[in-house]
Amino acid sequence: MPEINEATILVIEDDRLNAALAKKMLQIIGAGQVVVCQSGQEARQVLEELPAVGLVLLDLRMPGEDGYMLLQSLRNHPKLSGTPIAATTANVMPYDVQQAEIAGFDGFLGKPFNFDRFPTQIKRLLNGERVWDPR
Amino acid sequence: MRLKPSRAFGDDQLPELIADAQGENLQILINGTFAFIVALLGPLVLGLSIQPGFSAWGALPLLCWVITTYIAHYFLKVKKRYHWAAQFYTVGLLILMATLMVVGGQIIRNSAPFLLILIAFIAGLLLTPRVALGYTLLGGVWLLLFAVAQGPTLYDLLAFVSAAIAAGVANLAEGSLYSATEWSLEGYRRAAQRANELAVSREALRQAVKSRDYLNDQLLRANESLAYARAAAEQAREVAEEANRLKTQFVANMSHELRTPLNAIINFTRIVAEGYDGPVNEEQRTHLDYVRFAGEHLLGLINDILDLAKIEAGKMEIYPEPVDLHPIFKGILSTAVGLTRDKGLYLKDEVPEQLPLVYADPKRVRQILLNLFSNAAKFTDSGGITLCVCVEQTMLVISVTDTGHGIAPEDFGKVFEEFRQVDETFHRAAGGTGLGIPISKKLVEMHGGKLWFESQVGVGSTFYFSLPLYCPNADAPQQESATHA
Repeated sequence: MPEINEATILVIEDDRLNAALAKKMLQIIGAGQVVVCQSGQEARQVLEELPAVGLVLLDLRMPGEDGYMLLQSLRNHPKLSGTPIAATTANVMPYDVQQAEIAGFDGFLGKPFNFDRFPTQIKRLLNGERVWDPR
Repeated sequence: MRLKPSRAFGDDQLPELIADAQGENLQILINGTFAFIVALLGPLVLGLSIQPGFSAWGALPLLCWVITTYIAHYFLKVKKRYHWAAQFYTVGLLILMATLMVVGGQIIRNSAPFLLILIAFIAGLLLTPRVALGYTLLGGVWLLLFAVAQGPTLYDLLAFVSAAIAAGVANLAEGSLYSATEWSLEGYRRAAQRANELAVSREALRQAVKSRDYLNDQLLRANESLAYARAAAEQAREVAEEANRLKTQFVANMSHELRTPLNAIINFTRIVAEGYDGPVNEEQRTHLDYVRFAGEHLLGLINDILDLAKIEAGKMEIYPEPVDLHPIFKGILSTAVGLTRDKGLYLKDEVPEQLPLVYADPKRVRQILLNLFSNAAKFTDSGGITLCVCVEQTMLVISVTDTGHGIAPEDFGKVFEEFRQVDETFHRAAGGTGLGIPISKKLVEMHGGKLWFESQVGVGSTFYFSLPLYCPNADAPQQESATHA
């Protein structure tokens, strides 16, 4: 399992502010490389050039290809086999949480992120643990 | 047909029906008699009386007949006593016969037996067979005596015997006729009665059918109204459900839309405040913290609204489990220190060491307790807050008592209203959504417990809520308890 300062984390988030925030927060906790994409298409392009990816943070509500649709194609991507994929979203109604669970996400981080718990959550996800925190 | 033996001689009355029928006949007979007398015999006697050698005695029979017939008429018409009238008429005829024999010549005397037969026949028609026989016998006895007084001849004897036989036969025939009449009239009477009963019950049936039809009509109409009402209610229900669904959908959307920017607000503020973008001075730090608090407050509001929406849509889920309350109490009390420090309020923990487990969702218990404590802290300026616990049957009752202003009785209703606060101006200054208590109440109720309060103005308030005790299996007589180290 990669150490955090060696890990490459891929963030797929269409909202500019939240994308910047995710990048900054990951940098603060010492992630090796943080790559931010604004759509699934961009992500697929970027993946060509990336080494192994330790974690994918995927926003569920995006125009066009949303998180659920992306999940399937990402799972099949050769570079991402064995990579944990966690959902990040402000949609925390029970129905949505259930949907994410059914879809098979490895983690669920509710927005707004909890600044204090964030480091632990990311480290555990990198470790292959399931982190489910809708609130 | 035999005569009925039960009839007493001379004492029986014809049954009413027969009497009515016969009454008409008798009236005709009487009228006929009068007519006969007036029209025929009257002039005859008058003519005869003019002739020489006619004695006044010749008018006697006629006179007697008129009188007796008149008496009969009187009894029939005025007194309405058919039986007497008939008897009088019969007696009149006998007297006619007797007087004719007395005043008349030999020819009349010889004709007397034939006259008797005629009288027997008429009597049989008018009277009951027995009575008729009686009068006939009377006439016969008179004939016999008369013949004996005159010196009976063979003719007399033959005449008498023939007359007797004829009278007897007439009587028998009329007896049968009478019986037949009586029998058929009885039958008629019974049939009439049955027809009457039938008519009555048919009428009753008709009425019943009418009221049944009416009731049916009412029922149909009621059913129609009911169908309309049900359709209207169904429609209203659909509308309400749709409205509810839209509301929930709206709240969910809004919640999502509001949380997304808050992520940036809260966390970027935190990042800068904690110096990750470079050093910040004290004042910058403070102000950034204020921004963050405001953002967190907003987030709290949104979460409350979302909670309420979830509860109302029936989509709130609690995950109860056997819970040891001690760590939760400890956590809440330490958080409460932050709330009460500024005002210098005390925090008392009167929770016993031996505490049974409860069956509840720990996250929600924390939520409820935090809500009660923050309310208590908000409304108390001096004194403090006490946490207490007691067991009541199958529930554990937790109470949070404060020494605050208290709630006035007229405001009791507001406590549980959503978005209502007891002192709205005060609350707005202190912050608060007015959702805490309603949400806590619903959460408690979802656990199967109750939330209530007591309060006295100027003394303070105590809020209670109950949670079910954890009962591992039905056999275990006592609950497991956790000790507080």
